[in-house]
Amino acid sequence: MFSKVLRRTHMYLALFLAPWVAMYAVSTMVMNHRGLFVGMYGRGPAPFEKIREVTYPGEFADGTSSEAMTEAILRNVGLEGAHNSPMPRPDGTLVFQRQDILRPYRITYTPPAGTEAGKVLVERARFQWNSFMGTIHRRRGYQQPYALDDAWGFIVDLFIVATVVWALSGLWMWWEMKVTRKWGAVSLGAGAALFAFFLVRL
Amino acid sequence: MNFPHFNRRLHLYLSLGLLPWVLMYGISSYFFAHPELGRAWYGERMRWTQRAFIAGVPNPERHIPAAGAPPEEMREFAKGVLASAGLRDLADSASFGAYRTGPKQINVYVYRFLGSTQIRFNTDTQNAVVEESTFRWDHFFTGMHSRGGFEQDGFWQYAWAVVVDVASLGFLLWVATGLYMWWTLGARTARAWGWVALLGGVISFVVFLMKL
Repeated sequence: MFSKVLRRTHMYLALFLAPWVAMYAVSTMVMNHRGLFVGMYGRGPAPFEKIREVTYPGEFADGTSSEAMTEAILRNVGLEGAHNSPMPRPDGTLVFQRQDILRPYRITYTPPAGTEAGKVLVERARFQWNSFMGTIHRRRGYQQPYALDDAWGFIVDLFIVATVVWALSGLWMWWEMKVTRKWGAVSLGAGAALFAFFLVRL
Repeated sequence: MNFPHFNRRLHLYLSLGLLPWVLMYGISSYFFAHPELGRAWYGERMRWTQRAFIAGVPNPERHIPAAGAPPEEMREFAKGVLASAGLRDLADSASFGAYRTGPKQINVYVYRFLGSTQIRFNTDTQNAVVEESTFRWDHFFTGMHSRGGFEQDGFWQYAWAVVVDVASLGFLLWVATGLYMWWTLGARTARAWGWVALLGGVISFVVFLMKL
């Protein structure tokens, strides 16, 4: 019974997390061969393209925190979601990023000056495979007050637990099959020896 | 040996061979997802211990890269500093780079799995101070997880990058061989619940991709 539960846990976890396994594997290869993408897209982050520029109604009182400002600006342009909140520049301009796995946004808020109202410039990064893969690979949760962000964090934690479960349940299943013990031990021993060698050598 | 048999053996032996990497990537991911754990345990900053050695390495011939110099030029400079400091062997076995940290200072940072070395080089006096990091488990795991790429010189550096590719390919093969094993399972309930798990995962992933 224990063996069957273990096998089913191993399998269903793997089936549910298969897209994440594939994503982490492909993105690792992309990052491992980053030189290829520098040749394709050039160095540095993906360039931003202007999406729209809108007027910001009203203005912020002195002493308003940058968190309150960024949240209000995002609400104004209908882009609520995970973002950073840097301090405004000395002239009051506030430039911040709204995270997006596929194409992140850059938002620039310019405060009102004289008779001119405040403005919000919305720009979006051009899609690049290496940026997309790096972003999704590194994305973690629990840092922003958004349920979706926490849900992603939970899946990442589940993936971490699943990795250890796959390793330990895999060992158990291997040990149950007497016919594979010998070659399995060779494979396990060779892998462990190679890993130990790299650990000391590099 | 028929194909289903080969498929099962490939899944098994590949997993056993790559088991140390699976565990390393799994455990190290926890320190990336929850960096506060390492900071709470070890503190915010790395601790460096100065080596007894302080290298006076003035060399009028030495080319000092200007601010904003390309990475290749900084690497060449780092190699020269490592040689002057008697650490030439690290250039072959460790991952390293040079970074300007101030108008008169360039730091050469050398990373090894079991510890890191930092050389603080003063561009005016050409003096170098060599420091070694205190071992931290969180840095050990995250450093190992992040290491890869073919930019570093040396045979073993390349070998590690190749192993990173092999491990990634292994993960993809586990998905493919695992899906085949599930599909060829006789049990009807396993097929049905498998569909639920697989579609649940794919739909969740696509929703995250669109909304996150």
